[in-house]
Amino acid sequence: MAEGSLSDMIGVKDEVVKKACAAAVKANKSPEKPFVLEKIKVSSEAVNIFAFPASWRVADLYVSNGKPFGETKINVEQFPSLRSIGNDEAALVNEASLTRFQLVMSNHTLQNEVSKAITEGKQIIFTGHSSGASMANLITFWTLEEYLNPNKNQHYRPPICITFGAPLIGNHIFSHATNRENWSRYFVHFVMRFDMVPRISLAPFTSIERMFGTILQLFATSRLSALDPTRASAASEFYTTVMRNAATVTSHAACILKGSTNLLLETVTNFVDLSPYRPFGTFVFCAGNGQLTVIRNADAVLQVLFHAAQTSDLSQVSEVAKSSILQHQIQNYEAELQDSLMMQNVVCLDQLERLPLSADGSNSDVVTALDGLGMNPKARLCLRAAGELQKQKRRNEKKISREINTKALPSMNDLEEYKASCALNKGYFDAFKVQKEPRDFQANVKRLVLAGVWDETIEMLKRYELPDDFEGKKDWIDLGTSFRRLVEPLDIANYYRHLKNEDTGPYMIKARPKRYRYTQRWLEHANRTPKAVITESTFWAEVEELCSWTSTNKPFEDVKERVVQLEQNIKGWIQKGEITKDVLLRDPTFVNLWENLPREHKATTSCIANIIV
Amino acid sequence: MIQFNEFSSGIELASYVTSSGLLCRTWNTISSSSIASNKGERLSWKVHKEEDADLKIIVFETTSQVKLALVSSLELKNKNFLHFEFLCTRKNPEFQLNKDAYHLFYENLQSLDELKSHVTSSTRLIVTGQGLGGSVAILFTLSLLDIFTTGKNRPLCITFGSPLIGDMNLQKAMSRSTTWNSCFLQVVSHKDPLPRLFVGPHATQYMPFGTFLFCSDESSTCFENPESILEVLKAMASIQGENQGFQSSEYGNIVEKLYQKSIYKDLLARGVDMTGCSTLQASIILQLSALGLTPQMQQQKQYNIDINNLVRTIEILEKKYNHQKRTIFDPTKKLNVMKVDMVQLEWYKKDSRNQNIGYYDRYKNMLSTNKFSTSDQDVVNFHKNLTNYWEKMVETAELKPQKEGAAFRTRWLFAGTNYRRMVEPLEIANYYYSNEGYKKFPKSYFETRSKHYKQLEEWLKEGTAAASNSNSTGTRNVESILTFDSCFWAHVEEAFISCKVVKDVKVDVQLKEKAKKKLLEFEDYVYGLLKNYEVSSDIFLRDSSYMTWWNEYEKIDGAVSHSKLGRFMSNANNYNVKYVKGTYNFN
Repeated sequence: MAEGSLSDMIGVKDEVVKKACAAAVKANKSPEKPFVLEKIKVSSEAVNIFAFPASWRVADLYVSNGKPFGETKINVEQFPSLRSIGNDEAALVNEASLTRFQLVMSNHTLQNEVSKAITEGKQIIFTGHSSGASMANLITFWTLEEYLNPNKNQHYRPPICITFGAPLIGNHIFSHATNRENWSRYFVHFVMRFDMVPRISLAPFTSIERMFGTILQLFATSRLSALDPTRASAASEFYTTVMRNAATVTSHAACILKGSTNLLLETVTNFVDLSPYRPFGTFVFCAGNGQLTVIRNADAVLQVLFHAAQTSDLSQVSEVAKSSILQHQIQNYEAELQDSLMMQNVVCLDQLERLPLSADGSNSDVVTALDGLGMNPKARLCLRAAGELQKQKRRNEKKISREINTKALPSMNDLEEYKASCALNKGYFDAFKVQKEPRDFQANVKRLVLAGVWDETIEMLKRYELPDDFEGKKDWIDLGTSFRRLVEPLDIANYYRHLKNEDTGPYMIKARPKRYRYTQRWLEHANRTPKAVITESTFWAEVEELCSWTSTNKPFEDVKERVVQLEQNIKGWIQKGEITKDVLLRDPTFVNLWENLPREHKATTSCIANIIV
Repeated sequence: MIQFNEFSSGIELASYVTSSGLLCRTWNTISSSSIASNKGERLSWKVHKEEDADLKIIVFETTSQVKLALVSSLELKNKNFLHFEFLCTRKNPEFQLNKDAYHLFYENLQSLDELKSHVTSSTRLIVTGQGLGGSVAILFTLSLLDIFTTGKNRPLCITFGSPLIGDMNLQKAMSRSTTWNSCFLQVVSHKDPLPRLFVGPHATQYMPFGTFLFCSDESSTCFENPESILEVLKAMASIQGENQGFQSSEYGNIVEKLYQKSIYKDLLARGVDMTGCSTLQASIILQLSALGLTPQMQQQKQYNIDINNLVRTIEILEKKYNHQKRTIFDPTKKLNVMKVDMVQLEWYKKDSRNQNIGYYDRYKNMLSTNKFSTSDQDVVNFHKNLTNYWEKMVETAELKPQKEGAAFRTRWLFAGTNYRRMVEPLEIANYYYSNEGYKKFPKSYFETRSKHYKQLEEWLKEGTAAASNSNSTGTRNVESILTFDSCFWAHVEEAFISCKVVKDVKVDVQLKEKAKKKLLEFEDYVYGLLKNYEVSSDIFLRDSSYMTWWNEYEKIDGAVSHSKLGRFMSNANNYNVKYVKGTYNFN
């Protein structure tokens, strides 16, 4: 368990945190402005703080879109990283926040100021309180996508997002994607122990709708210290409702963390509305006594969000409910930070799987931190489970790695040799399809060995059993790409060898294995290139399809577009040296296709006619 | 995913269920007097629809008493009551149900079938009841499982304080399907004597299934392992005694309290030093504390219970149970490995043909000459691996419930058929030419044929009968196909033996006539296969067993001159060229 100063742990100077909080206060005071920009210097370094005001309008927190939690699929054109790559699953985001964000973005001054600051090499801080934090979160993602993507030659300074009492706005893919892109450290969320807003979206909107107006009013009233009876009862109802739903979500999540195999969990879930929202980034919990606790594991954060805000019994509900409202106020954050930053009583909970379950004398700072957040043995077991799961994912990756080294790489070498030995003849695609020589058969064995290793990997990815950063690691992307380029032609050859296209349909539509779909997406995401229809590993399938078309005597016009597309691709690959002209001209299937193309097409339209002939 | 540190999630599952409000909603329907009740024989039921939530709740109520006696599923079958017959398999053909619960169900069968016909898998359904009413809810839900196997929207049966309903075989039958068990949630108060009525030395036959949600005044926890459930029920009996004062209506208060309490911090295991505990032990201590079975009781004399020992017992049971669940044979995992072995055999076949010999005969020669090259030895291993895999595979499919099993089989049918046609010939060679099998006990192969081959063949028949659009006629590439009937070579070997019998001067006439008849049957059989192009042309290679047989058979006086097969075999051009090209006129 690391201990030290907060700035060491989160990589942001105390001064910056304080200034950010002050800026958030300022922004809240002028809600009519879309944002407040503070240009300051912190130890001679230029810092631009963009603060977004909180909104207390219901419509900025929830829109009724037919979903009990008001979520919607994020636009992956705008946020290409906010998805699970191989699974091709876009993140879910709170629609109200997204709509407000688009409105803020339509203001070009913001985009211009951001662009200016970033190109001038200034440190950008995005900040906000409450629903203002949602804006800060989304614009940080936008800036990271826009300025820090791998297609940018320049190395800009990454922006940092500092939020206070931020509601949860995205599903588990937010955390999955930020971990993959290594962006988690750019998001720092301060949360007071009892602040209800970070838990609010764990409850379906209809359950809190009745008292929501009153509660928002309370949030909007600054420097509130006491509640009248009507408001106090609304606060109690609000608190118990949100917490009960939080209990449902977190205990469901805990079952999964603990590796539960009881399918009753699934059956019951058919009858329960479960919030999709999950935390992401780095959380700093403020216990209220100056103690700060840093947690980076999103699963653990969710557990703490619930357990820390529990009350001990009925008699305390009204008191805790009051805190759950009052603690959300930005002034409260400001005051609390003042104290905690002075005290520097900070604990970072890593190595969660080793947390003490009960007071054991050692590790006293950790114990104090856990006690300060009210973590009972039940909660601590959940935190341990969260740590254990993460460790298990690393172990799974190591296991895959061993399989690759012992089984896959030797087979890849053999197939490389096979490919080389066939190159002098008709090429390995054709040789494999004909399956005449013992080496063709050996190649088939290697293909299956490789399929076994990669299929297992893909299965694990589908179940999120590998570390979040797996699909972003260069080593895995490279391995996947060379595997796909070398072996997929053999799968295609095998498919057409057995004439499976005749009863099942084209390879690309009906039969392309996930191991190739996934690995293609990895590379496309790493290079931020659009989804390709035909790739250097699958053009054989297109050649086969077009070839079988030529034998049907149907008009050329039907497939003309496809032929032109294929020819353009081939031209590109030849120019880039990914394929040589020789490879094409040696392959009987391609030659067959080429010969059957209309003379007129080859003479006029074809862009590869002069290369081929 | 295998976790190094094991946990038990029972306490979380209980929090999930109690905080969701599902139990309160269900109990409110049970206790509601505004819903019309249908009266049957000693049983009544009401149906409540929540239109906006797309939810239907069916409640069963009875004032009957329940006794220990069981009734066998065989008896049910004799009465032609087949609602639960789908639970039985060849391996687990019989189970027992509580007689009183069954009678309530059976006496109202017609009305319940009527009720069942209104249930569709598109509506979310909760079936519930308390006490013996819950037992009927279980039976009603069991009878629904047959319909719901494919739908994701499976029914949820929630009972309150119901007695155990069946024996160990019923529990086994339920655990065959991964989803069946998950439809049953049994809520049990630690004060309620009814759920533990059939537990203990006087009632050893009963076994729980489904998930049990145990609750005390303070908290609640779930158990899924039947043996752990029994342990907990026993422990509750030993500290609660008979406790006749419990009213079943208290469940209303209990679920309401648990719902309220889900946001309060529990004080479970407070002050317990868990420094040396594994995570699993700590989880179990918490679970038992939730039921008032705290480690502090160990020292208190008024309780006759050894909590530490109970923790250890349950820890062992949970570990065993988790291990079993994890190591369930999952055929998909090894399919790719098995594909490699099949490709190896495919090559063996092709390579043999290149050497002008069928792979059956190559394998057979290897066995009869006892000369094994290294590549031959490999083939023996592939043969072994594949057989082991498919034997297990077929066994697993058989264990599955009928409908789920059928789907399972369709998925594997193609690979299984391929395997059978490729590998059974090797098995036949092994039978007739190794020192085991025929040489020891001269019986035909068909008498000792492995069950899994028969099963695979049967499934193919069922499958194609359902599809029935198989293009069985017409030519195909007979050079590369595998002979359809995987027992073809066994028929050849038997025919060869018949030939010997006919020629043997020492054999009496009656046996000879019998052998001759068999040979004629074999001729028809081969001709039939050829006509449908179901035989690989490998059998016509010069030294194949089939050709050897034919040469012997031809020499028998007058045997073949007029037969159809004789005409076909009379000219090598017929089988070497015309059959391969599909130009021979079989009519």
